[in-house]
Amino acid sequence: MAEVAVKNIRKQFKGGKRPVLDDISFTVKDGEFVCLLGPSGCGKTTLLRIIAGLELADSGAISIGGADVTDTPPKDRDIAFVFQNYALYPHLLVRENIAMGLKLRGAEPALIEERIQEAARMLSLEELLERKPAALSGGQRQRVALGRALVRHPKATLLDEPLSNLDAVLRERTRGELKLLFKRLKGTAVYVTHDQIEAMTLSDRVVVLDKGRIQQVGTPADIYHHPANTFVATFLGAPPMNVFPLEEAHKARAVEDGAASGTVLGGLRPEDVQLSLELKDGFLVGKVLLAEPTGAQTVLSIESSGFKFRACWPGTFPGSREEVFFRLPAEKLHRFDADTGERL
Amino acid sequence: MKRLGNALFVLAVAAVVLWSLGPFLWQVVTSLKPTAEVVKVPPTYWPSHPTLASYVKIFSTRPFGTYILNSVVVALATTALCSVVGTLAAYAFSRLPLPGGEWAVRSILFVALFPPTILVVPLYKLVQALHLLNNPLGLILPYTALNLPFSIWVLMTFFKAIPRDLEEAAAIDGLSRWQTLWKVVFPLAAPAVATTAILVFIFSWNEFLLALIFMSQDAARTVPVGIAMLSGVTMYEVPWDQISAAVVLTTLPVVALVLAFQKRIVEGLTAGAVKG
Repeated sequence: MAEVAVKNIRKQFKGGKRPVLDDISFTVKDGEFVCLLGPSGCGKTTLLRIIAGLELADSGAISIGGADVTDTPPKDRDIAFVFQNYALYPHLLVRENIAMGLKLRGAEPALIEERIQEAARMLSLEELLERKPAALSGGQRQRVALGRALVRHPKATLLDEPLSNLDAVLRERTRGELKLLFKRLKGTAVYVTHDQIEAMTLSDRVVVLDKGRIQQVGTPADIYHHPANTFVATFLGAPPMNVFPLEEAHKARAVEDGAASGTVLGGLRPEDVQLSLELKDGFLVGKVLLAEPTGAQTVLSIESSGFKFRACWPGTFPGSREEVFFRLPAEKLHRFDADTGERL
Repeated sequence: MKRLGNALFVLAVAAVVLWSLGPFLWQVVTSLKPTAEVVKVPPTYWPSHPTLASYVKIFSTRPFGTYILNSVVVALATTALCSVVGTLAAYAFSRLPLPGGEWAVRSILFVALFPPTILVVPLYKLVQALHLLNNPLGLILPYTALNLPFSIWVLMTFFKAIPRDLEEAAAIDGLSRWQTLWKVVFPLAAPAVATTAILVFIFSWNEFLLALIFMSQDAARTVPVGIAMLSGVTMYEVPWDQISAAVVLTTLPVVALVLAFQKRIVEGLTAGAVKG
């Protein structure tokens, strides 16, 4: 296991208008699980492929375990890669799929067998070793792909949306297993996803990317509670944070906070909005435009004097109610610069 | 009603099979007839005394064994050359960033558009200049050249269908380009390679025009030319029984080859599952 450092990586595809990666730098510490999170087209997969050596950066450097590997071919970087569609060799048995990397590195047959058994035990693949990938379900293939990665005890494991081809139930379960697995292995991992839940649940730290630039690097709690800009604020959280011109909220008297000017945006997480069915001190009345029950909570779209926002009602919202009383607590308010979107 | 439909279906299939196989079956029947019976009017549909005499004759009185050997050498060498060169070229064209690769692929297809007939004279000059007339290489090289465009195009479409991820996984596992081609791509492409190989083999086995012109000596002739050159005692006599025997004998290897490879192709398709 080792540290992975990304320094000033820049990449532009031929014919592309703007760079897919623009001066990306961050470090994954030894044993750390880091997610690259961002919408599709943000460059996260390209970045992962550059770390793996499957793609070359235009400029910048990659080092793994302190050694500069910028120009090293993938096989000599001692990394493992889990592909989105698993990329198992269809003509080889599961056992051969898993053993390939070790075999090519000239490992002793006894060691290979030991490692195969170890990986099979970890991933419950014992029964599947003599099968071909075509005879496996999606979830099983995914575990084989993981096995192929882990069996080599690589310096770092790179995962490209490994759960995106699984159905919802299986994805949830595998996510949990993945977390336990990497916790036990204390393995350095870089994990690409567009799914904020995966990023939040799995990572020690998250790198949020958008339009080829790093938006924020931090722990899941960090990026959720202290988003660096409006992109991070609205990308994370379901339902997303309410972001509005502070002035507008003032006009509606929804925010008691002073210092309002046209250049400031206010942000408030829907779950931070205080709601009540009765009028309380400091509360305003709002019209319920839409109630979306999700089970554990109901997402309300509320309007008051032309000011619209969303809020979370714990449990089921009484369907007959057309009005609700609310308060936007000033202490929970995030402030962003209206021009740059940066946190103030 | 359903039974009637089934009966009609079976009848239709039988008719098609008979229509297609009829000429060949007639060759088989003719080859088994004694010489005198072949030209008898009205014709007999089954030999009165089935005999293998004509088979023996084509080997004993004519160099048919040599023809077969020549054909085997030419067809196998052409097939091998086409498969190896075609596979490597198709892989390179479909995967490697070659400068001008697109252009090269198109020009290869362009070459295939020329009808072979107009190539005969220049090819003859070329083969003559290389001193390869009456040498198996004089057929192997032109056959390979004529079949390569087709092989490359068929194989390219197949290689392109193999997910890139597989090769990247191989790169991370530590396989070199050659190892990736040999251990990952080739096993997956085996059905396609087998298919092109069969078609190339059939072409080379059956080719007549170039073989007739380039191989003037009897000892260098291939089977199709050999059969055409079979003649009777006088120029007015056509030895139909021997011709039929020769045709049956030359068709059998092709049938055997197709059957053998067909099994592999089906196996490959069902077990392969290129889908990652």
